[in-house]
Amino acid sequence: MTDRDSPPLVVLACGMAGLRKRWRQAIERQFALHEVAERSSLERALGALRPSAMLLDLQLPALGGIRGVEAIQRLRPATKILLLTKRPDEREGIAALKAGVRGYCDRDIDPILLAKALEVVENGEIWIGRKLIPHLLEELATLAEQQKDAPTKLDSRLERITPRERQIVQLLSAGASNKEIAKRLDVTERTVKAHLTAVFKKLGISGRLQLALYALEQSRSSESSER
Amino acid sequence: MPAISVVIADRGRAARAACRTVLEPERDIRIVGEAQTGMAAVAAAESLKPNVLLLDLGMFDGDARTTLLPVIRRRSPDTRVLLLTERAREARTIDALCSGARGYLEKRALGTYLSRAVRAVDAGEAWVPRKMVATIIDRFAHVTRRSQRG
Repeated sequence: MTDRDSPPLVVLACGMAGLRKRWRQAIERQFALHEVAERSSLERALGALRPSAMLLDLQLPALGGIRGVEAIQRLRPATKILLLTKRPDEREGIAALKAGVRGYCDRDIDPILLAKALEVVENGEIWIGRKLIPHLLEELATLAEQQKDAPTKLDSRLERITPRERQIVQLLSAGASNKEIAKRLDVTERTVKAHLTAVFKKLGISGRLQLALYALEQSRSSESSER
Repeated sequence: MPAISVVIADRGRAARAACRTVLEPERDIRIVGEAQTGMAAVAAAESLKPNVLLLDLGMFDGDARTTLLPVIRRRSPDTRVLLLTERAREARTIDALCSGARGYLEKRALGTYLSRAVRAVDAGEAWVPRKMVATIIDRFAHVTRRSQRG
């Protein structure tokens, strides 16, 4: 028998014998199994057996919660973790995903679903409750915001534009078209366009909307400059 | 229960009309405004504070894709954004989803799903197909690692 023909190896890591038995019965037909009951034997098994995936009970003795999950994942990144927990909740689920798990569910999950979940995770996909997704998106948006230090950088760039160009930017961010700006400033539309081209270049900005948004955010950050 | 207030922001007159046709008969949904440009969408979100903003992904040019949404978020934090897309362009859509949108709907599916998607997003759910979830999570893991390093 070659490796290719044998079923993938999965480690069951759970301190409770009864629970382990339920998990085992749910998946023993599709997977080769190895069971451990506390953290140090889990670590040894990971090094020695290189399992494809693991069912990990968050309440595993000596695991140390999500931090422990993260350490286990780092120990062997190639092993996909399906994390099972007593009472799933959003905060814990997000933390688990941050730690690198590929699946997260209730440890009393229905056996048929458990087999399905493991199959999905082992396959490289994700198994999480739909309710987690909006929280995930929220978290991503917040992270993206935190990473943007653009306003300060842009601030200095804005100083490079002339008063006339600034005027045009202000009108543009108020929603005026080139034609309207030209009329307001009593110049031709071509002049407005030329000014705008210069502004785009100076600020490294690609389009009108982008420019208007920047201007809007600049005015906002100067309104609340103590931040 | 008060109706779900919705602003429709799309460059195309036809798309706006299609949204109206679908949403107007719904008694729990009320259209409170329309916008034809990205800046008008920002202004409408800020002044009308709708529960849900339908936002045409085609309004985004260049980096605005990732700039428009944070601006809307800051100016109307409680408004949930549902993107309208021509067809699933994964990279674009993922960028937008990761900067504050709560879901997306292809325009050809408006008739079938728009009302349901509006209700779902308003209720705090995400309107994202299952197959997209893995991609979002990969992005999440990536961003998280980056922010831990930096």
